[in-house]
Amino acid sequence: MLTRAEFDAACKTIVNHSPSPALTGWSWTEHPSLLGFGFLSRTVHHFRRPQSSRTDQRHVIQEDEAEADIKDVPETLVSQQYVVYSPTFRVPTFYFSIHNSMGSPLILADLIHTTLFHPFAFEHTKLSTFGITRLQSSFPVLSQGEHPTLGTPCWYLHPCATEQAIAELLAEAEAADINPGKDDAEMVRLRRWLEIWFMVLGSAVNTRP
Amino acid sequence: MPIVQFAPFSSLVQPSFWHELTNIKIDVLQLSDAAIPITGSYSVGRSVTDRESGKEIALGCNLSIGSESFDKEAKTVPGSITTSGTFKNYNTIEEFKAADKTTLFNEEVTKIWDHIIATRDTSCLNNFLIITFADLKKYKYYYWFAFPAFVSKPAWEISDDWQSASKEFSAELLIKIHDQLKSRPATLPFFLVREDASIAPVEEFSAFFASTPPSSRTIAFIDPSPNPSNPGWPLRNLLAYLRILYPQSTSSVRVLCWRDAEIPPASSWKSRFGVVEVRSAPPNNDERPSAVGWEKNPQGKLGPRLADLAPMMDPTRLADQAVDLNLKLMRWRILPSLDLDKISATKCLLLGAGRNTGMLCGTNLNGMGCQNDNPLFEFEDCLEGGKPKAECAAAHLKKIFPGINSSGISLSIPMPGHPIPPSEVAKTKTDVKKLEALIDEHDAVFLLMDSRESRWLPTVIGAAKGKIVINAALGFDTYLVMRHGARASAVPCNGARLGCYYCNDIVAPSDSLTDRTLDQMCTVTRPGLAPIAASTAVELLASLLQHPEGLHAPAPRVNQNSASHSEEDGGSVLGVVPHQLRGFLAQFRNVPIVGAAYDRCTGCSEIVLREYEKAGFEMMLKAFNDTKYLPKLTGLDALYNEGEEALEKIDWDEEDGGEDF
Repeated sequence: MLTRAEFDAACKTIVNHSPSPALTGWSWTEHPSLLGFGFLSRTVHHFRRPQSSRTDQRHVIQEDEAEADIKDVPETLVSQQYVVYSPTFRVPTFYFSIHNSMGSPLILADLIHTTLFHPFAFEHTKLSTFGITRLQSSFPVLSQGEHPTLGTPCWYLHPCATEQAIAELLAEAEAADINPGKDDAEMVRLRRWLEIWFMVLGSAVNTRP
Repeated sequence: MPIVQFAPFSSLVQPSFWHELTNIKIDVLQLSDAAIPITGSYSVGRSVTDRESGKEIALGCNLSIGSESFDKEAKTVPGSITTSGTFKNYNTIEEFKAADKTTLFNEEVTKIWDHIIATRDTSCLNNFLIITFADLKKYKYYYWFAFPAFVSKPAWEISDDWQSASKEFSAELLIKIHDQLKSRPATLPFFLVREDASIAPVEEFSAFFASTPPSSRTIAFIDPSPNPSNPGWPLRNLLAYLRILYPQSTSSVRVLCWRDAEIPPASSWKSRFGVVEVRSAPPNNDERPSAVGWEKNPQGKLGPRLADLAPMMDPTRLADQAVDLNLKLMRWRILPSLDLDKISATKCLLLGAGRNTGMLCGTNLNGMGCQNDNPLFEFEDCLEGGKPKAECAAAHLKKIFPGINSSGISLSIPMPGHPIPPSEVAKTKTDVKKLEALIDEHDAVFLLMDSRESRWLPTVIGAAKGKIVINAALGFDTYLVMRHGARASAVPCNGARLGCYYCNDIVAPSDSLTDRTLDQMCTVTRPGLAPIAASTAVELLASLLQHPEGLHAPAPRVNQNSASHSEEDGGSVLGVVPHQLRGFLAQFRNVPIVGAAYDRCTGCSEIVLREYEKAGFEMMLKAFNDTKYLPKLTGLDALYNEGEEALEKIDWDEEDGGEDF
């Protein structure tokens, strides 16, 4: 678990200083007037995973010989991604929105088949128009909600299982830590916590920028 | 030699563009379809590695627009190029379809060409055009982009295909180019490169290349296309620009397609290099070449696109989804036997649109999923001079809950003991008829007025028609929430009948308003009381609706074990269905009470109901005008007389001796 202050500090360590793709491209934003509502955000492009069974019958009449044929270029999907602090669960939570090149938000059935998620991320789950639930679980895996600071409609991955997953990995990481007692040990610990959180996130979400 | 195939621009619209268009249409444009200037932006093309196949997938050559496109003061994002565009919104779909696209396109193309010839600068080379039609009611946006590009006849050809820039320039030179680009305050869309990798804007062509042999001159541009074999669209107009302004030295052009926003690791530069040639004599006049550039739709045909934002922007759908979700979660997770359809199909009538209980009940009802007609009635308080609270309340509810069907109706509810002047009789008759119709059309009636006797008329009508009547009344720190029982004729012979608001009064409702002090009249209450009472009233209805017997649900037994409130014990799936709840905020206590029906009740006894059904408005008029009518009808007057007589018969003992006779 992290306190709000720890979350803020951890996030700021990865802004502008991130070798790994999952941590690239994030910027920190504060609420315009209230303190303590800051979050990470970035914009990423994805596309729909090609459905191999579909045969593209489109015949593009190319009047202009100098124009390249772009029928095989996948439509760019724009995803706004956020890492937000959940005061209830005291962990970071992944919020996102994703829309197509026309500015229309994708429906759930569509977005789980984009490159934003790994193909196996939602095995053994049930889909509705507003959420994905794991069978036998009381909390939804993916639901709709409002961004806590911006108030805009977003999807988010429910943070209830985060704590547990991270604790296991954190214990291993700490056991391997050979430099305890450094001056900035606290910052290192927080950064590692967040890196592990991104790793856990990466098991379902494609976190490349 | 193969013909150069340029990757056309693909429009990328942010949802914020549509939101801003909606605002602008409403506030600024209204019905004007004049062209307004906007901006768009592009940056280096991106490709992604598909994790599954390991292949590099080139994404589109994107030109992006968002809400900032309408903002003249918007700052350019570092690393991206801002382009100018013309935006035209049509007011109807017919006008959109009938718009003279050829003329619009030609005007734009002529503008670009004239600008090149007149100013010799590159600022208009990326101009674009967008026409739109916004169906604001359905949140659908029709649009069509055009990215004008001059056609070269004959077409440009490429010798030797495109190759990696690192084959032509060493890593140091490429790094130098990158650093220079980054150090400039504004990113250059087009630039010149010399042998030593120094760069300059294209406008400085003559001076910059004065002593550079043609074989060492390189033209470069920020390339939004990520495709290794296709340079991006901006190159077309750049080549046209160079061809007309420097005809002698541009039959063959060395081109650097710059695609590296950062210095790549391990020198895996994405930028491309190629030499393009055109096999024609240098142009000898300023004649404008033809141009192409309307964007094809996703099906590959020349036609507009449609953005459907209803799922995201329509607040009705959003609100519906939110309530729906809450209810479904309730039902799926906690109470599988909850009958949601019953609740959402219930039509509720709220009488009394005060700030307190009226509004709050409405809000709570929506939380429960009641979506249907909730017209709000108002009791015209003659002392206040009658404000149209009802319409305001309906509008306010709609703001909280856009999906609600609510309308506000201002009506005065006549009351017993408040005589109707002869001139008002006709209007009162109409009002009463309206009230009867409204009660008829609804399933549940909430009595939320702030006086006792104003509840009489709806009590009678509601009882006669067998409607659910929920009553809520506030004191300073006490409240009453109750449901009226069914009328006697609807209850089987031996069934216990629950009472109404008036059953426990031996006094008929009469004029309680005059001779009251200001605070008694204005119903000053502790602020927390109204929400508590309103919520209780709505939840009482919810529990009642889930009970299999509905209106006839029995009250919980008085000494019922508080833990056992299951369906078997006479409750509903949501719990018990109390008859009355009296709340005492000073003690934070709620007391469930059962009040039996009184067979001489002025509000719900069969005597009164049958008289109402027989004589209708005539009977009501008598009740309004004559305070003695109702007691007489029900026989209460006889009861008073008996009571008075009994009192007189009692011998009161005097303290000291001496009896007075």
